[in-house]
Amino acid sequence: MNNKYLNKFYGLLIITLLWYLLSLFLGNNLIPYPHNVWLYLLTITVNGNIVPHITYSLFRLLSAIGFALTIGVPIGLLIGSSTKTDQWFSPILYILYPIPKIAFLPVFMALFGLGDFSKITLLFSVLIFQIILATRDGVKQIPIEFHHVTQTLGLSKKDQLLKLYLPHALPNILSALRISIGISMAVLFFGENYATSYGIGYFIMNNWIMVNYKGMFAGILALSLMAAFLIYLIDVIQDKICPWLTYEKRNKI
Amino acid sequence: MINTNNLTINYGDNNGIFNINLRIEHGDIYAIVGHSGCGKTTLLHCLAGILMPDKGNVTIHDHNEQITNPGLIQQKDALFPWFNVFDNIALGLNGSKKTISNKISTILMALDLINYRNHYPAQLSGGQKQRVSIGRTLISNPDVLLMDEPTASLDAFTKEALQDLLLKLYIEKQRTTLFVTHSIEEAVFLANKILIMDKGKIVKTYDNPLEHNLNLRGSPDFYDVVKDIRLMMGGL
Repeated sequence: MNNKYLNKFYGLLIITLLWYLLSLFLGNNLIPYPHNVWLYLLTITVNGNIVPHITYSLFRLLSAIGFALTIGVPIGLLIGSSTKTDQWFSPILYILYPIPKIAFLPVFMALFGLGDFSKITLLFSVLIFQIILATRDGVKQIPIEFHHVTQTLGLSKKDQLLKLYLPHALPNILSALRISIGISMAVLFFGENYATSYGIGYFIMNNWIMVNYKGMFAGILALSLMAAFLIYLIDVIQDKICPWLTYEKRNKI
Repeated sequence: MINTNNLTINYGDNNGIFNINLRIEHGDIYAIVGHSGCGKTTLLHCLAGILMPDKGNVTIHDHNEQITNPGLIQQKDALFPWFNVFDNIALGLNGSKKTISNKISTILMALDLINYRNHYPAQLSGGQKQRVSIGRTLISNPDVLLMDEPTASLDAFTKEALQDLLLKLYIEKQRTTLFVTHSIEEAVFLANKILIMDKGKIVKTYDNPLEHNLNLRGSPDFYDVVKDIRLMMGGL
């Protein structure tokens, strides 16, 4: 097993130790022991109780990520590659980006119904700005020498887009996705407390109301594991689609 | 043939290039030398079409045919890190995959890079990167070649090896070439005419009396010419 995997388990070990300490200090009723929660999570996974909740949450989050990438990346490329478009669009983005999107859930529900689409839209509204800005910045950071290359080699606009702008912005886009996943999980938790009886957010809240802290913590653990899995998945995807970054990292060591 | 007519780019405060009139004949190899900020790179970028002149114009012809994109080799290799050596060289090429592959294999052989075709730039040394960059420019067989301090970022040994390669490539094709350099030795070794620039103007054109020769470095004649140019530049 290489260091990368050992580090992941090291993180889990530290968190579990801190968790034990909290359980000891604050009492087992308020914060159940980690082994009890892990066992409970294992039980509800094996008997299938938590599976639909995880499936719904993943479906909502992955759909939002898909939409945000499909719409955000082209907009980011457009803004990043043209000073005029940047001047027009960036001030609008700067005003919209910090608005707390959670406040718009009632509006999304009124517009898109009580079903999944309003929750996906809420998550999309959180993700899209980070994707657009990360893509834009990735394009704007292209060294001038690279532009000279495309200019002197006579590359078409399409080739510039596919062979320069997009690959240069790709690591930025993946970083933005990693950051967004943490925020999205918090928003997902909030969004799934309304007009649904499925989703990990609903599962946590329902267990809280029923004073089943073991269940509540199992839900929190599941949410955290989901986020960790997705971030890890992005790492794997990055290794696959950006292999050059591995060599660049090695050179810097 | 490269022709410029009163070429001017004015950045203000006496920075830029002013009324440059150049006439470089087919097959000539020119070096531009001068102190930092004298306008060497500005002139080269203007010839490459990267910068637009405020006044005057540039025409680059070969056999009566106007060239819009002369080949440019930059100081930094500017290889795209996400492409391997093969894809970097293939960047500006059009045609069938087989034709492109054959062309690239030929140039990789010439540049002694055939075993590195699948390597990423981060896996190459500075000299190898610059050779890939040369390959990327030469693959489309440009009639006119412009180089901006092509060996500046390299160590002394790699620098000499690359200068040898550039000279061999020039002798082979007799391609019209103009390059900017900080090294007078490099200018004397590679160029048959040396332009000395100062404050945005060409103040002297020096005819290099030495024949192109890979063993030129270290000879007394070589150092005499280098000394001559140094003296000329010292007075600026």
